[in-house]
Amino acid sequence: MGILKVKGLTKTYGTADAHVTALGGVSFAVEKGSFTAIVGASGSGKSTLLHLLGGVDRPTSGSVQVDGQNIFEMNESNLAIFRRRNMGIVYQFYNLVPTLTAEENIMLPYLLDGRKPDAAMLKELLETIGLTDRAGHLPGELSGGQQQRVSIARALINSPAVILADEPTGNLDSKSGREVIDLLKFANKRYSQTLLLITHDEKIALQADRIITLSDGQILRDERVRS
Amino acid sequence: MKLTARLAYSQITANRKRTVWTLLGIVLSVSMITAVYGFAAGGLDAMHMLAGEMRAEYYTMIYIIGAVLSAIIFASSVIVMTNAFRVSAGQRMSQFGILKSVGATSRQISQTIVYEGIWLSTIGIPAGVMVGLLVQYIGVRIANVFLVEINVMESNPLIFGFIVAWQAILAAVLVGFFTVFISAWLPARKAARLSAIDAIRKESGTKVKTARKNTGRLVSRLFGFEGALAAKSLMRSKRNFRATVVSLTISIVMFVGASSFGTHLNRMARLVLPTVDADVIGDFFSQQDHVSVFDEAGETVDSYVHYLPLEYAVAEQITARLREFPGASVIGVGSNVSRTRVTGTVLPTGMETSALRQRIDPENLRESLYLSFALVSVDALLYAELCRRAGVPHGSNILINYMRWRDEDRWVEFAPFNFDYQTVGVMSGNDIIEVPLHGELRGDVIPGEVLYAGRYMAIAVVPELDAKSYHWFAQTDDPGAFTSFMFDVIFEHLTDTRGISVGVRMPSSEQSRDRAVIRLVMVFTYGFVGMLTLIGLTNVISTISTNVRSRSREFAVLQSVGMTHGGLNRMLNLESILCSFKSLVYGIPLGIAASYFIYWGVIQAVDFDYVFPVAAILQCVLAVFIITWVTMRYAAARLRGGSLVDSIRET
Repeated sequence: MGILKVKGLTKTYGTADAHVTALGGVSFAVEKGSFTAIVGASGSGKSTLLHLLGGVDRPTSGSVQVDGQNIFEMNESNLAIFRRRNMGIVYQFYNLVPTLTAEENIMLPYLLDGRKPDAAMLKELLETIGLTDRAGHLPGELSGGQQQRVSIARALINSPAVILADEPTGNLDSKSGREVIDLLKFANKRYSQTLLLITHDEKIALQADRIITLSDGQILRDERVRS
Repeated sequence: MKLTARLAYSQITANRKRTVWTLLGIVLSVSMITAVYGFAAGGLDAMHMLAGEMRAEYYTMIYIIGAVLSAIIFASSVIVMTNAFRVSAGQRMSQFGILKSVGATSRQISQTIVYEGIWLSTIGIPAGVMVGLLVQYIGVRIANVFLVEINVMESNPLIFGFIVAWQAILAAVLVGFFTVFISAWLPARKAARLSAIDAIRKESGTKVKTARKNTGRLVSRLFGFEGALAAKSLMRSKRNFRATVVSLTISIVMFVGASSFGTHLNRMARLVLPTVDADVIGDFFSQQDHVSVFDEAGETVDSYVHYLPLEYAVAEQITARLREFPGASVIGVGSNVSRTRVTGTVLPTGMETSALRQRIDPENLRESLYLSFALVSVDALLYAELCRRAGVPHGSNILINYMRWRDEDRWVEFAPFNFDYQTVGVMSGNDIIEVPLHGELRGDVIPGEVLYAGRYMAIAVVPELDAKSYHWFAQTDDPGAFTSFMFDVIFEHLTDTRGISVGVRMPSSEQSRDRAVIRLVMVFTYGFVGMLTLIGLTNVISTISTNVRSRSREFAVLQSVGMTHGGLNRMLNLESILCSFKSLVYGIPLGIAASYFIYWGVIQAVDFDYVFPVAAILQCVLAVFIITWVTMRYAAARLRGGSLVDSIRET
């Protein structure tokens, strides 16, 4: 059963006579607990796709179903609630809230939902990302790799249906990059998290179960690496 | 063109949005200096025309007040400009970093800044001067609209001049240029200290203080988690909010200072030129009638003065009838004092204040104070209003605790009595009337008409008095027709006109001139306060929207992890409350200080008590909360129009 179903997803920019198609009718489905890598040259529509999947952008046409719900049929506020409960997004530039500590950043989706944070879960996550002793630090006091690990923990805290990661290693040195990928893979195995990862690093892509290659807003190849 | 100049030019044209905002900031601040000083120059000029050369104390006063207000205005304009630059400081630093990384020397970088300053100034400053002159012109035109009414009756009309105050323009230009230059230079200096790559990375860097634990559980309970988030962001990222708080604070100081300037200036004008605001005045005097009692031999055994007073009910009827004249407003004030006789009263011991004691003739002050005392009765409408102002029930006797005095060549105003619910025995003709005092009125809540009707040492307003003299003060568009109407009405209501004198007159040219000065002062101060309020408002709105704009990415990130619009609004609500509160905490004491400095300037020329700016402070509190809230919500709503993705990507 596909946890994520994408149908005819299209996104164009600009006016009718001068428009750019960022995404031209992409369709695919992702199984629960799988690890999919999306690769492609820059400008191929990877980030546009990820933003649409994450519900932070709206498509020109087409639909995205997460757990059977068409996310674009929701209004803004429901979509926001949906995002915090069902989506974990990891950005290239971490995008942590600079005024909140690592711990507070991780708990953010939980707190936004008005729920008491699960202390055990938080402890486990902090241990997993190896930042137990830096939980009270602000993002500015952490290295890039540490910040990215915090943002992954933030994505994991709510056990979302899908984790979307947009070039999470793009801004990191190779060692930190490896740690981040290992962490994502660990989450994929340990919590059976569905993982969608954008990268243009071949080596990282090859660690996925499946690689979707985008080119000019179309799916060029869709191959299973392992089964 | 030199490379550095071209670089500066390209930065200006490439970052069009940033350039527009920066230019707006420059235009705003330059224009406000130009407009305010031009307007002030026009007002002073008109005052000169009326009053002729002023005495030295008045100039001292003007300089002190000018210095206080200038400090506030200049601070405010510098803030508007630096703030316009602040938003893009990170971006600028990163650009300087890039320049450095390709081998630009510090010298070349500072040259770029100089050129950027020159480019921005050459466009922004002249535009600001033009806008300022335009605003001044509009202000002057509006002021003159209010003066037209006065000028109708004046032989030499009063005109609020449009003066191009070149000194003010020069000051605006200099302040503008230096602020632009320093604002542009600050990020560059920071960039120079950092390594090239750190400077490049500096984009949108928010400096954050070390986290402290426990951000109010109460806050989270009241405003939800989003509220706690707001409190944290305010506590940990002071810099982000400093501009907002500072600009709100300055605006509060500006508003309280300007209102206080208005209050004190009006107070001063009223003290120096006490006038009643009337186009037609009707007077009633009951003639004194000497009655002698003879014995059988024809010798005078007794003689007393008899009056035929105007009964309260009749006076009320006349006032009511006069008010029927279309467009007229009428105030009626009577007193127990006849034209010539002033009554004396022995006051309860200790009722006089030291201010009165030191001015009174020692002859009248032996064991207790002997003072002329008038009882005044006003028309029912005004009486109700006076009771309201004094906070006493209908039917109360109200002590007018006000005295105007000339100490050598300084006009002095003070409260002569220690009010303590005393009972005063007022001599009225041959009787002594016991008047228990229930309340008092002080300072500028006392209508000029009451003071006019009782131009004696002391006054008490009492209800429903039969008056020995009575005055009607009317404002009307048609004084000619009203004069004869008033005459007819008064005589219609008088059944017995023996021993009575009635007169209806228009104020003398001297009086109407005084009135014109008072009006001018009012128009001027309201115009001035209005202008400063407008500046403060623009200042605050521009700073707050800048703050919100500069945080578009932060908001987008919060939304992308699932904050709803409602949540964002809750966060902004608390932010605006906290910002408002903080700036009020700073602004109100500073505003009071500014108002005291202005008062200190005013008392160089005349002497009266400090008027605490209660109303201005209350207005401020209300306005600050409302404006901050509305602007934040509006700016955030505008932001929401854009796409989340763009905001997240934006660096």
